[in-house]
Amino acid sequence: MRGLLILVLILTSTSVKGQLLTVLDKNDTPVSFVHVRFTDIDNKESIIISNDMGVAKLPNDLNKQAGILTLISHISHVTYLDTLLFIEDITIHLEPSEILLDQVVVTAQMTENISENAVQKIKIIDQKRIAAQGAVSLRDLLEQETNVRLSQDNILGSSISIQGVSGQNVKILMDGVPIIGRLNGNIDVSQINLNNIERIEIVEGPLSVNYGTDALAGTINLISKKSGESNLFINSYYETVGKYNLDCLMNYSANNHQLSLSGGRNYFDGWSPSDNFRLIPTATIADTNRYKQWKPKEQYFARAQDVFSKNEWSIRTYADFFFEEILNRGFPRMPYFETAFDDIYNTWRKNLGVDFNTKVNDKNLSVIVSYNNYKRIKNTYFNELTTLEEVISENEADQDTSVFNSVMSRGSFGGAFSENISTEIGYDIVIEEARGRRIEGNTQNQGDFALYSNTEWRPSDKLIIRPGVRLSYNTDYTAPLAPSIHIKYNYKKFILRSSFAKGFRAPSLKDLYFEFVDINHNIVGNPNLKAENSNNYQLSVDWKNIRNNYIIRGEMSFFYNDIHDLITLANTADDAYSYINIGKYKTLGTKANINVTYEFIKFNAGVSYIGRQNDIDEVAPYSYALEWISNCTYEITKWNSKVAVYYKNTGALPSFWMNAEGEVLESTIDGYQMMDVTYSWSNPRNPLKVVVGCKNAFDVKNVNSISGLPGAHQSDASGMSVGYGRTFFTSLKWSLK
Amino acid sequence: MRFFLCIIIAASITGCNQGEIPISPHASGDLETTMIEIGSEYKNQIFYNLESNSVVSQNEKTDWDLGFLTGVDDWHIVINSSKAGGIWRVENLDFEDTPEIEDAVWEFDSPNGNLDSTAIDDYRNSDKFYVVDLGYSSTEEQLGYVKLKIDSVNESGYFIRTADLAHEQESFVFIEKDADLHRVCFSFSENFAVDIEPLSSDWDMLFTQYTNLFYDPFSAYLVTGVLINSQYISVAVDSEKEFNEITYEDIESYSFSSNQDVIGYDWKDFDFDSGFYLIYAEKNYIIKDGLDQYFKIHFIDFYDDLGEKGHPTFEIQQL
Repeated sequence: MRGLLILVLILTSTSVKGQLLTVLDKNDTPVSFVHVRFTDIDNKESIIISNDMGVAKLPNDLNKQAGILTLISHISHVTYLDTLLFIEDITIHLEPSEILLDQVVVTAQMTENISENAVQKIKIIDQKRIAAQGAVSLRDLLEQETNVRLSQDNILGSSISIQGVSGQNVKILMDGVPIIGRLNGNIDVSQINLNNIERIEIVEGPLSVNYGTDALAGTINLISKKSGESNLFINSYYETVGKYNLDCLMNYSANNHQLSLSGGRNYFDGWSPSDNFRLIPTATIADTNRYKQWKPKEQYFARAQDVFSKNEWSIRTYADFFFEEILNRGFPRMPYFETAFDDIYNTWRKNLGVDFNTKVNDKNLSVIVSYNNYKRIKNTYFNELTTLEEVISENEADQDTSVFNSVMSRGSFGGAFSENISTEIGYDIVIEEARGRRIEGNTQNQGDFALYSNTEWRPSDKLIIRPGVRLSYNTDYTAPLAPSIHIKYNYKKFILRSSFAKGFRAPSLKDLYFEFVDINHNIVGNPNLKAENSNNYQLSVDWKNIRNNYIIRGEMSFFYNDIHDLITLANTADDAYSYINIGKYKTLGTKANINVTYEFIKFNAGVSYIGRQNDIDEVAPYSYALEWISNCTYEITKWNSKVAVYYKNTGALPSFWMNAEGEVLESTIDGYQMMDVTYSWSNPRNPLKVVVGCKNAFDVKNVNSISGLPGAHQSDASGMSVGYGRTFFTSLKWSLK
Repeated sequence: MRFFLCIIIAASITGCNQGEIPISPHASGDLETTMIEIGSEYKNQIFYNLESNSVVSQNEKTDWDLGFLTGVDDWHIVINSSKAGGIWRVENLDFEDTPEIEDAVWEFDSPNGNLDSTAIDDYRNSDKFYVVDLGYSSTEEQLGYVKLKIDSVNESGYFIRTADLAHEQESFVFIEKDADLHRVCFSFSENFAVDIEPLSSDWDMLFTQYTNLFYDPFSAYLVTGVLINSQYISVAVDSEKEFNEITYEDIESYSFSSNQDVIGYDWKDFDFDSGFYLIYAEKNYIIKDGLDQYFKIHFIDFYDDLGEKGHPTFEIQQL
């Protein structure tokens, strides 16, 4: 009897063995409410949720004789996927994901840091959001960010403003190297492609200590992908408005080298409100429909990068190239619509550089040297529409070439020098040359040499005080001293950050050396200009509460920008105009955001209220604009899918201006709403990932801008381009590992 | 999976610029189209005759500076306003003195040709003299300043004295009134009357740059357009009817004006957004010439077929 009992026990125990999956985190604490999906060799699937001991029991009806594909997912941990053989009970340790760990940031940090520990308030947009939103260029992402407003000019491109301050005061960096080539002070953010970008770090408020000029309103740093594996990705993107994009990325890793090559082409066939939908572009008749509100654009880009890392040091060498052609077909001319003037704008960007990083006695040493070139050519053609014969226009003013060349180098050395003091010291040199038609002498050079230093003092483990200062010498203007001070205090679940920083914007080469003198005009630059100066005050509070199946984060922030010596065009003598430092511009605002992650739902809502005052005498009142965003993603693990909704409501933007009689008048740009809805499908065993969706669900095209600005040279803007109506897109990514 | 890859690649390279299909030209019927070549730098002044639809004579705008009216009792002198220069009336200095240019107050002729408001005012019985700003050449070089004093005028001509500002050289010139011409043109660089205008009865319209005056705020701005021969020609403007619909019977309903700039420059407008001139082809001009013949014209372009500006093109038909 006892023998039989033992036999039964042995028999039942062998079938009981190899049935339990225990999920622990890296501290050996059980992780409960974990979703586990088992798929056996016969493709039979079963989903189990772990109990509060972190245990999930393998269902009996699965075939345990071969390996079982096991997918374990939990909100605050990295998804685990592997084929397991359940001979014995198995215990798996999960890695904490970025939500728990907080994300890595590098912008203006002495060493690689996590965003929770950074003294500055840094917003991160990661790869998941870029993919889920179907974003192709930086413009697509910023369309859904608070405190960032986009302004579209269909030839000059998309320009941005942060905290109410215009894009000429926003520094855009690629891996820490400034992007050059500003038109009227703005960088066209639709020229910045995201195919190679890992994440984007956005800092509001001046980072002038580290980055010098143009970082007055904020800094956007794009961090490129640096993969440690060998793989190949091919991506295609199609949008019903007429966008056909293809790009590929290849990574190869061997012998301490990580080589990466990427390239692609984006094509947009233009859009006008009267356009009919066509799946594939066809030849069209040269009638009045040839004029498009959104111009056809073709972009080519390519990049090669090598990262060599050994022990403590790494060298990254890169070269990238970008070409864009914008075709502006003119409206056929009265009275017979048989001729037209067409413009073609070609832009080339070339960037080469070397980035060297190492550790010396536990302190970070990094040096970057980079060469950047930007060229933009405008050509105008006179087109005979009855024969389609094109002749390059003889008028000298119709052809234009602008070239910017710049060589920059930045280096920094810093780290912890004692238990509670870290210091870094760095240099930043930029030498640039600009060539163009309306520049005095047609060529101008400028050299900027700066030294900067930041110190972080931790008197307690809750408080960090970081003063910083930058001293620069510039060959063209007197660069101001730029000090800043940041304070960060941790109190229970709250993080308080407060800062004061001075920012500046150098007079551009156009402000200094512009020359437009003919019989009817007299506008010259002013070589004695000073830099624009600003004082920025910020205060923010962040709060985070982590529970087992939900995480809540909230933030609230205030800012105040006071810009003086704003460079404005003013009447200097009878008929002569020049640029002088007399303008004043103030912005102030507040932003609040709440973020909830519950099981597989992530929800985010935010509101921002910004006031702007633009006026020399400070007579005009502040004009306020409200915007709020809301987005939500829902992961459906059963179907390997994710549904995401992104919504932004940009409120009406009033502005005040003074007419010749000294009366203060108001003009308004209407508000609008942008919503994108996307569906992503991604099965880990399938090399194909698909994202489909609808962009601009509210079909927004133009918004009214009631300006009524007078003057001989102002056109009455009846509508501003904001979007091209509702579109549908598909994004297919195929990968080979 | 290869299948998906092919789909991906195929879907993305179908986006290309496919070019255009040309449109068919319009039928011009029996209208004549004429193009006048002022030139892209607006160098030329061109005298045109309606009846023969041809250019009678042309000259460069810098070839003359002042025009002396030829009427028997006339004493008026007009500026060649295509160079954008003005006149400074100097009253409290002697002709031999050197005036300070910074003190100058510049006067301009009225663009409508009204002789009551010329820059050179009544100098008879006065010791005043004039500093003439010679304006700009078509390559936008400044041409300098000279002094002018009219000693006397009678039915045969004008006795004038010219000098440079510093009075290092002085010349005496007699300008004879030629009754066949509207004005006798004088050039300071030649110090002589020069052959510019054709016989007054031979030309109807002058295609040229000229100075238009804007008020509030005041500015003298150089424009390009048409000045009529106000001695013989008068013009009515009709912006309502279509060019093809205007017939001889409509003439009674129009009121004609002899202002020199009735056609002027505003049949076109510079559009800053596109950087090109827009043509107002709906502005129709009905012209009555010296022989009581009627013509209708409207402008259809300002560019030639190479896209160069300075080539006003119009359609013309006799009524």
